[in-house]
Amino acid sequence: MIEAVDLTKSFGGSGSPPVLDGITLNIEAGEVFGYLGPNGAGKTTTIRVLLGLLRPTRGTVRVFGEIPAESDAIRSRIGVLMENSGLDERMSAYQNLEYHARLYGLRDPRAKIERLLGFVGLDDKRNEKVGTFSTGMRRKLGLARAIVHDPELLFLDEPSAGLDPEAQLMVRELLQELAEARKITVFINSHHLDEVQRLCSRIAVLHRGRIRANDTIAALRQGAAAPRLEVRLSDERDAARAAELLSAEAQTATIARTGATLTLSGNGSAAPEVIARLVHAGLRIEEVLRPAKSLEDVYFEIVRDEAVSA
Amino acid sequence: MSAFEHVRIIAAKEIREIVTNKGLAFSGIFFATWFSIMAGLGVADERITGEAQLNNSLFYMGALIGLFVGYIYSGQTYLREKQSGIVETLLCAPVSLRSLWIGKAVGVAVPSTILALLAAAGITLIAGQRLPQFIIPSITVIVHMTIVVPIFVIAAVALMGFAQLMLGMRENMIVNMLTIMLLFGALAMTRLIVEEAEFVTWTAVGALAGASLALLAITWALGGLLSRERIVRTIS
Repeated sequence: MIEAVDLTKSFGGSGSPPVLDGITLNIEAGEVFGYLGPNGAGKTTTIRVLLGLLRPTRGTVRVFGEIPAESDAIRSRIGVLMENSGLDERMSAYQNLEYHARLYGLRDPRAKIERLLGFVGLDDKRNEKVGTFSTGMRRKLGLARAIVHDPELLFLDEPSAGLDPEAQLMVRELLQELAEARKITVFINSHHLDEVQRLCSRIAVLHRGRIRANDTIAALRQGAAAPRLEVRLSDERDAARAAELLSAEAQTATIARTGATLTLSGNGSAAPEVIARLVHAGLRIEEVLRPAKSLEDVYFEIVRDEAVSA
Repeated sequence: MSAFEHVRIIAAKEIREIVTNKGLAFSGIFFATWFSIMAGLGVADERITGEAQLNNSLFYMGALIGLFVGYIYSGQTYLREKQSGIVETLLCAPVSLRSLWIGKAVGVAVPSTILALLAAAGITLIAGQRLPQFIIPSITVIVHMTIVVPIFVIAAVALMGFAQLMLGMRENMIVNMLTIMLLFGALAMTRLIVEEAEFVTWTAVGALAGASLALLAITWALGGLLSRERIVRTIS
């Protein structure tokens, strides 16, 4: 559905550094794809190129098999919610939806608009000017606007930006319903890790214009770094003895001790072998844990590694 | 969906917004009324006949009021949507850039022209009160007001819209200041031009019609330079 190969975008002269540098992406129909990255990483620029608002400096982009900058036809299959919601403050909620519905060729959109206003919980605000709406209400109405023509593909740029936690939850629930019930392919730009973790089937992490990771969240959490094992012993003396023992025997594991707890990372930290050695040495084990990395851990590992290497 | 249909939808939205927005509607009505009162009160039997002065005034002020109101409304139509970022969402719709641009120009030109025509009627009525007898404008002026002024206003509004879409915010500020200076300069010269000699002839009307058509053609050709990338990159 979306295919970008070696996508590079520079603004300004030939000497200026690229905002996007060799991005390669492939997003299949039905996916909910999260595009993560810090502010200024190039997330919005990527969306703009995929929407055909900007032309790539190098590389190719195809959406529905067509070059987006050259095809007005594919725009009718795409819904967009940019950071500003794209609503006219002087018009009512209903008028905003009606205007966009007609631009997308809907002949009699009244019933559709009423349904959508109900879907986003704004049916009682239909005749109120958008200028009087809170940020959360605008975001929800913007979402209704983005799907008024039943798009197959939805681009969302920071859908929860500026929202309080309650409004974030509401928007997230709406998006979940869209993705699950309507089977819309969704491309979400965000730096809200929690939102992405709850909504997306696959993510890419963008940093300084380059994709640093691109996989399912589970795969990233498993493969982001060498495995880690936490062993809590009965007391500090046992822990000290265990550290000594494992340091002498283990070849590549890194061992750190905090009180009665040992943390082993790297090869040589396989749980069965470690437990067997400690039990054999007569040490008393209270608890053994293999803590999973959170998406936050993975994200910051990627971003910090890149910052250090840069 | 045809390009004409898109232009119609966009123009209807802009007209509705201008008409229903009290502040916006009032600003246009205020300036049209103010200029028509000033122009109407200025008509008198002095250097040239009152009839000639009325015709001169309608010829000159009709176009100028249409241009002035069009300038006010175009800023609220093109520039406001660009500043607020709404235009980016519109650029994602299956609407050609030319339809978007022209639809807005039509939406601004229609109320601007109507106000110019009402202002012309106002000038005629006020002048009629001041002169010994009520004077009906000449046929050349009526043709000018009903055919030439609408062409002139839509060409000028489309050109202003083009500039507002193409230029960055700082450049737009400079262009706005120059436009205001030009408009007020033209208004300041009203008495000088209107009271000197009768100049409303078929030749003058034809010349302005030709110039308006030429401006329309140039503006249409300039529209080819519009690009989504240019507009997005000049959003504030």
